[in-house]
Amino acid sequence: MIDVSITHRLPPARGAGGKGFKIDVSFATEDRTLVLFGHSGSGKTLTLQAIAGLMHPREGRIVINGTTLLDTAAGIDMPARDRGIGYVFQDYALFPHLSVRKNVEFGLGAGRRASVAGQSGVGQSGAGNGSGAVADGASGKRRVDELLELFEIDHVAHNLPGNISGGQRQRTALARALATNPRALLLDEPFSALDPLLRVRMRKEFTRLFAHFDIPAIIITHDPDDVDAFADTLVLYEDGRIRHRLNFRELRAEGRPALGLLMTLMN
Amino acid sequence: MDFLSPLLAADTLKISVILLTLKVAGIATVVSSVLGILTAWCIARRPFPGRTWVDALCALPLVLPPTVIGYYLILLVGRRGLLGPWLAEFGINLMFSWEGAVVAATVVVFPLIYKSARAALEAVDHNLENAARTLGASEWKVFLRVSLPLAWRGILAGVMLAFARGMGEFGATLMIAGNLPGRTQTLSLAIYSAFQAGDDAQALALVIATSLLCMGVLILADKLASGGLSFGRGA
Repeated sequence: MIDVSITHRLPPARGAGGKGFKIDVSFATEDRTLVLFGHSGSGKTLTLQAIAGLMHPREGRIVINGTTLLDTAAGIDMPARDRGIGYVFQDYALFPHLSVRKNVEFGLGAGRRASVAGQSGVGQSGAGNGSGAVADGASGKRRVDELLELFEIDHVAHNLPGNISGGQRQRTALARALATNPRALLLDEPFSALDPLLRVRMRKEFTRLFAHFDIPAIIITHDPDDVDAFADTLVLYEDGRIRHRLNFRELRAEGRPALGLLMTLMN
Repeated sequence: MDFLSPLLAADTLKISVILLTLKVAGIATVVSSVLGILTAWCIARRPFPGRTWVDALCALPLVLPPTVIGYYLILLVGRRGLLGPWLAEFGINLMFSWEGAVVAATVVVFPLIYKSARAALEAVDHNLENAARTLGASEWKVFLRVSLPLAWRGILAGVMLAFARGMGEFGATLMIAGNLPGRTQTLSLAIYSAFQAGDDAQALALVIATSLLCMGVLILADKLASGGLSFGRGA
């Protein structure tokens, strides 16, 4: 369950005229994957940053699976480190000085995050512990081993992110975000940095991994193919506002591809 | 090659002067590094009211004449200074002591480290720091595991510069620690004394020793910067 409602005003960029940018959005869903679609500069990334606690909206309320991350009316604003939100950045933001393995491990040592309800994580793959509590020591190492294997990056575990392929970098970023058992996963244009063939393959892989981990995900994109592949709920952004909110699962069942729909709706 | 012969006489080249200089510059650099890097981190993190003023104050020793810095330090830690009597209660007397020379050098080299650390920390990709936060890292962990390692090269350049500058400190050191042979006389003070006394051989020996030390620092800095930590960001 994802319930987001935020209002914020950014001052105009220095040197540029205009009146700045206002974002005022509100959406809620019980679905597993929510896709935010819209042109760049429509406030999609700002929304993810607010959910992750990297941006603090002037007014708003963000509740995920019953946990209130932000409620300005009640004076609640959980710091980013306590929110338990897995964030896959558009450029992946892998730590360039740490190996693939150290990147994936990074979140494991950090504090004892309250165990997330309904978590199953890598445990489902068989060998792991299914409790979902933050792993430490030997079990933490095993969890990382499993993630590296599951994401097929175990053979590059000791490489630095600068020395692996684009697909491997993306898998590393996702594995790192999932290693901490997040409440929800946020992906900012996850496939935009990949070449077209790899993009198709990574979409398939992600579909498999999302089903495996079964955690709510919010995906930003401006590629209709991503909508076809992932959207349960589709939210269309325009200029800081929500223009449409659709149940895309039903539309997909009717066999309607996203491209035509989006062409009609966004014009 | 006559002018080199005095160098070979062990008593001419005062090893103790070099050791004292290295000790003073070394301790001052370490103290200033800790203070400078932490200050730069606090100031680089986010704007706050008066940030421009704090920044200017931190950079001030860079542009003030060393004698002015020395005078301020005397007002601060001198026997009748602001903190002098309080320090004396703990048996600490900085005037005319090598510890006083450390204080002078620390203040003089602080801006070099602070400036380079701030620039290096601000150049770190904020997305990397934000990524660490979403992974549950405390601000302190973000600093130690992400910001500092990525800014390290830039900071190191400032640290090396500070050490070299610290070895050559003259004005502020002279005012607070004096020029006491064997106690507070560092290389540059010893060179000045030898020159004033007409002992050209010793002055030259010390000048060459200083030059070699500084060359060594620069080469070491280059080695440290190029070796080990090299990682491309990739496409």
